[in-house]
Amino acid sequence: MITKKFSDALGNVGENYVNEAATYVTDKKIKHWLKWAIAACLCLIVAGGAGLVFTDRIVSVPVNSDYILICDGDKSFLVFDNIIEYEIKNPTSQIISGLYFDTMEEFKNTVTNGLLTDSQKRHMVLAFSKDSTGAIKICDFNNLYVPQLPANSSVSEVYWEGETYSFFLTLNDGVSGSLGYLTEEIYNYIYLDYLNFFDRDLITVTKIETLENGRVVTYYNTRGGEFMNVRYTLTDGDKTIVVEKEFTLSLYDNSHGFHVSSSVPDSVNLYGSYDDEFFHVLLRDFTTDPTDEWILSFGLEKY
Amino acid sequence: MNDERIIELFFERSEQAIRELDEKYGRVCYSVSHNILNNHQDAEECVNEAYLGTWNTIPPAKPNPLLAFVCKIVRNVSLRRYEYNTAAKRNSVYNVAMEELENCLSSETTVEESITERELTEIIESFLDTLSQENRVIFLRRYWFFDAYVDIAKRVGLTEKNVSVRLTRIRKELRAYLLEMEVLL
Repeated sequence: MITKKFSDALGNVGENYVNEAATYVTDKKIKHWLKWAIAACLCLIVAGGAGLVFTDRIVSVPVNSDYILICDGDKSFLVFDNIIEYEIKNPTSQIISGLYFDTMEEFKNTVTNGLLTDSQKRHMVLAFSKDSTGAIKICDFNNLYVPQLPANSSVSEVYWEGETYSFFLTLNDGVSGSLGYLTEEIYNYIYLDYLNFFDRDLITVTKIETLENGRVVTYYNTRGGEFMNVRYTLTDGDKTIVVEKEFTLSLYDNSHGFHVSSSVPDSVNLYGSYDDEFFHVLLRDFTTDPTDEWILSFGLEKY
Repeated sequence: MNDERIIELFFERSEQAIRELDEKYGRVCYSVSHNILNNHQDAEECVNEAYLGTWNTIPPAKPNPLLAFVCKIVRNVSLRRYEYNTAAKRNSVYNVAMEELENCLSSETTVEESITERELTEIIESFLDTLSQENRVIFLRRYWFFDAYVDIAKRVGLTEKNVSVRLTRIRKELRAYLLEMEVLL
């Protein structure tokens, strides 16, 4: 029967279609003002204006580019003159979710001065989150942030994923990781995952201990082995960091020699927030348990 | 953990790969399976079977995007289980969604026998390309993921009623498209 055959055939459609449906999130609230903003931009373009500012909305038109940047406080968009030019209906190459830049300066300069290559534009159109009008959601280039890091640390690359961007970090003692600047919405999404971590079906919690200073230690098993999770919160002025240290106590099959220790974490997640800014840090390859002072040195500062 | 690292763990044959996969995508996988089977235990078993399938497929496969790859395995495993279950669960979202499609695809005569599944997939993909992004998502969430109207409505920011109307229109367009492509006669 055709319904069954249709369902089977639908089940085999390209992964780009499935991924689009799996990751789609609407943003209806901005739709109305965005239409107005685009209309306003078109007027500006017709008038030959560039980089004009009106009321509280900022519209930038990079010279010799085929896109404009719109900023309305907490929401920013990149709108192509003709997005169809960069749409790929059936991508055959691997989909990457972001674009790499060597430095923050290169990142900002490339986007705001209209220096994005056609290949970068195609990746953006394919992978970045878009409004239903086709406007690409981006971070606010008038308010970019760079990481505050412990001493002797450096940023090796910037990775742009539209509304968010992250920095690959090289830290002291061989520790590696990344720090991501997040929107409140994305921060809440990953923080919810953190809160619900132990509800996963494959996880069996065996013991919970509450230590001094509000540290909660949770022991749990999975099919892979036994683990320990330590959580607590640090504050420094207007900065709050929720710390999550993950220890691998034993693995049922550790033929690959993964790091197993009850005193040195396998990974550390930091969920950081100020009043309006949010970040997430993921750190690995520790040789010692990081101190609270070291952890509190992570943060954000205006670029 | 990012997808690349999870795939690396699969390549290293580390069981942590399963744990990380489940942590990141377990909820989506369970939802796909449960929409088809309408049974908690069956859905859990199918998701676990899909994880095993993923374990057996990576390597050599190096899927990108990983989420779509795993969802496909979950869907296939769950549909197999659905067919296997003798006591058909007539109240699953899958069943209702299939009935909707049945009405849309009904025809006295079809050339379905002569068309291969692969050809039909290509025709469906070209139909999906004719839809707006939002309508494409609505269609796939209903007939690929077998989501309930209320869940689709939340995802795309419409009312349930709007989703229902949109789906009716899309099915109508699908029927016209299949007639044009001579899949239905």
